[in-house]
Amino acid sequence: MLENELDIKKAQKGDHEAFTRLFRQLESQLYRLAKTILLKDEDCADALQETTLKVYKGLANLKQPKFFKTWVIRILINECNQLLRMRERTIAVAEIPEEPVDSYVHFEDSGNVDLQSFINQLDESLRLAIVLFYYDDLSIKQIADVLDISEGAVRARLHRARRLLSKQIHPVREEGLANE
Amino acid sequence: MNNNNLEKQIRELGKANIQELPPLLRSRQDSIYASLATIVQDPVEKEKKKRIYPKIAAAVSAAIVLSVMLTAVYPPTLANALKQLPWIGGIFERADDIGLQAAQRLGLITRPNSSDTHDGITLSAEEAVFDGNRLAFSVKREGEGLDGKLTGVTIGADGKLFLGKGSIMSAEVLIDGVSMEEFSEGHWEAVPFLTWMEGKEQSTAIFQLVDSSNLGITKPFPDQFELTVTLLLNGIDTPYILEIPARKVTENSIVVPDMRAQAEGWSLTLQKLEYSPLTTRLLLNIEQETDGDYADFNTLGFEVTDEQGLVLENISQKALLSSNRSQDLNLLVEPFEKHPNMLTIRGYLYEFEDPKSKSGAFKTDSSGNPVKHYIDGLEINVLVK
Repeated sequence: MLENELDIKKAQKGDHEAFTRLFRQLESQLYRLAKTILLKDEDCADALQETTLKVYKGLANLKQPKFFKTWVIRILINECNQLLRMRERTIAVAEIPEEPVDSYVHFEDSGNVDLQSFINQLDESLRLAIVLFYYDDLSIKQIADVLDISEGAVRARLHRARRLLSKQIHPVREEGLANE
Repeated sequence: MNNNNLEKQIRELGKANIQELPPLLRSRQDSIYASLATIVQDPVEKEKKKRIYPKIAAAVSAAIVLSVMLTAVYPPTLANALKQLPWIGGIFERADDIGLQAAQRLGLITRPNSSDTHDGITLSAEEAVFDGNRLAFSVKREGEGLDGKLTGVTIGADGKLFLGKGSIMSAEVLIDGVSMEEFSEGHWEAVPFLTWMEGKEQSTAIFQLVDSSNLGITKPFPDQFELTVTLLLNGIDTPYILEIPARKVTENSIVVPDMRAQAEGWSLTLQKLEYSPLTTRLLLNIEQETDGDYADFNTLGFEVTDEQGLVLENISQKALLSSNRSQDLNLLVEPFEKHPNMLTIRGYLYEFEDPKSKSGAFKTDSSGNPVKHYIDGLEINVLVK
């Protein structure tokens, strides 16, 4: 992210083209993260839109450019949580299954499909920890900052997620082999 | 698979799993970028500490004064004494849920008498009720120095959102020691859902776990079981564990009318109707008569009214695809306050802000409620005995 420091500084002074360049680089990661929490593309679009606007408006007050990415992620997670609260309070349609697996099923390797579908089935808090740590390469400390929890809690979630994943993967793989 | 292999695979999955934005998001983002030139950035805040924001300062002072006043009006001893009275302190009683209010009124609730204390916080299960369709229970948090709500994010004095210490991060439940996934025997698409929402009193929450056996692939909740609830609070590593004894306390009426209505390419069948003082539960089957767009199902909703036209508010719904163009819907709505002779189920479609689109924001009326397009004829009237 340091190589983007110049663009961050330009964007802080209102250069919207620099901001667009910066944000476009993060879009896919942010979408995946929003999808981890919200599942529906329509909701992800709302969360991403609000995040983009908040980041642009508040960017001048970001003291250290190196924290840009974690700052953006933190805002996005807040937006997603806020959206979930609103949905819960307005229309009770949240339980209609959105087939979260759909967005991931284009992998050729069936092992990957299994693993991804198991990740999708984890509790949101565990799923989020997996995505931030393994997909987005955030450190334990960064995840703790982003989620506003202790580093110990992050480690506990990752440990728990790994334990659940290996527990789920074993029987399926064995069954697959037996059938072959 | 050992842990190293697993970690390696997850990382590889992450690398392979970067996607372009779908068209909906792409076009939304592009229009935001195009509009940035018209948006003014917030000015840099200088000398933040010395720059007092009059409105915020006033709000904070008001909050302090109010809390002092409240403390004065309700000292802890009096507050505790008041809670002993049946008409004060009932979390269910004050919930926006006719079923929970009725449960309180009819004496159907039980007191789980379960609490867990550590790190200066006590969580206690206050009330529970179970009618075979849903198990609802209330939880109260007590502790010092807790600045946020028990559920969800809090708006701080500076107007920014934060998740306070002691707010619920996650909740898991076991039925007689068995996880929901195991209970559902691997049918993750029908795993019973645990949801929670803020109670009317500060630091309270109402949880509910909904049985989804109507969908035909998972077994029903037993009439009596022990629910173990594990709650993880923000900023506290050790989880809180509560035990809720659940016992079905209602004799439910069940009707199997198998009634059908057809209109505008949709076919609606009411397969089962079950009602108790806590919940009205319907099993509906919806079919598209021609191969349509499955996304249409997501815009289809149902309204249940009594003969006076009073709408029974939704509690929960879970849908399961039963064929390419058919889905089963386990719909839970409020109970009726006065026993009606007839219930009406009407189908409607939400309208989108952009009438040409099949996704995006719903069109809303002046009160902010989604606009519904009722489907003429997609309506079932069922007599209730």
